[in-house]
Amino acid sequence: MAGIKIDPVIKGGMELKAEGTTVYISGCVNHPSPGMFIEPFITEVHNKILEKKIKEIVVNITDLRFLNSAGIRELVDWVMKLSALEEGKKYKIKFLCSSEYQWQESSMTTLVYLSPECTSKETANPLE
Amino acid sequence: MEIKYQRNTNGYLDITFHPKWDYIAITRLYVENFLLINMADKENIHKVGTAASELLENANKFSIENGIRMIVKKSKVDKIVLLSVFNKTTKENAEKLMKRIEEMDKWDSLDYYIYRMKESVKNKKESSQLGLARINHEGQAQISAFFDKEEGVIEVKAIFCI
Repeated sequence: MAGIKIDPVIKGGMELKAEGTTVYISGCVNHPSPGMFIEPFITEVHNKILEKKIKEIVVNITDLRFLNSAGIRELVDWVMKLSALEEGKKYKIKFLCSSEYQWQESSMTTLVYLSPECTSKETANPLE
Repeated sequence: MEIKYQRNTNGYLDITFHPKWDYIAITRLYVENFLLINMADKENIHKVGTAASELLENANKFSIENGIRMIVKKSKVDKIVLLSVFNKTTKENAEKLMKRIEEMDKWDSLDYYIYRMKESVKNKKESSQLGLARINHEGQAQISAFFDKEEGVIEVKAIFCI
């Protein structure tokens, strides 16, 4: 399957990168304006997914230790943008979470509520 | 000089610091470590730690004078943890925040969180204003606020059943 490759963004205590059909968000998002770094990255990811007609992408946050509410807003923005696409262009996002960081369970569950048809959540096996 | 603290608790923490954003993350980690004493449930510890971070971020954004105070108290009698954050702010900011809490209390916590998520992306020039809804829903905390008009200090309190 054709994938995407975007150079890693390492800023404000977080690392963002995209390889194949997986987006990795790791580190700790507690910057007052994380949108400065996250929004341009997500926009590029979103545009490349559409360009390459990818139908499913995994957002791996298993190494994301903390995400403040300003960071959550960036993911909300992505999900809302995705939901607003016309049917044929829509793709699916699967958030891959870690049971080690308890906030991920509740935050990502709520995010999936926003658009259950386009998003899902899975908890990675810690032994893998 | 008297060192004030509250007796008869399972743990009492009182921190005052200059509102420098960089201190929020280390304070969250410190709070989580503080709660590990006498508390076993990691989920509850994370809930309080996340709430501390969100309230400190708000205090940092809306503080009009240097200095933020945070108190964490583990009750000896009830299974509750109390988290309070204090900062100086304007009457307008305080009223806005108290109205937000009043509005939130009328909603189901999940519905309100989703509503705030949708609102937060409409105007990205403003702050996300998701923090209280997040504490309310993810932390299942009871949130209240009190504004001391004479001192110009607002206290935002979150009570967690553990």
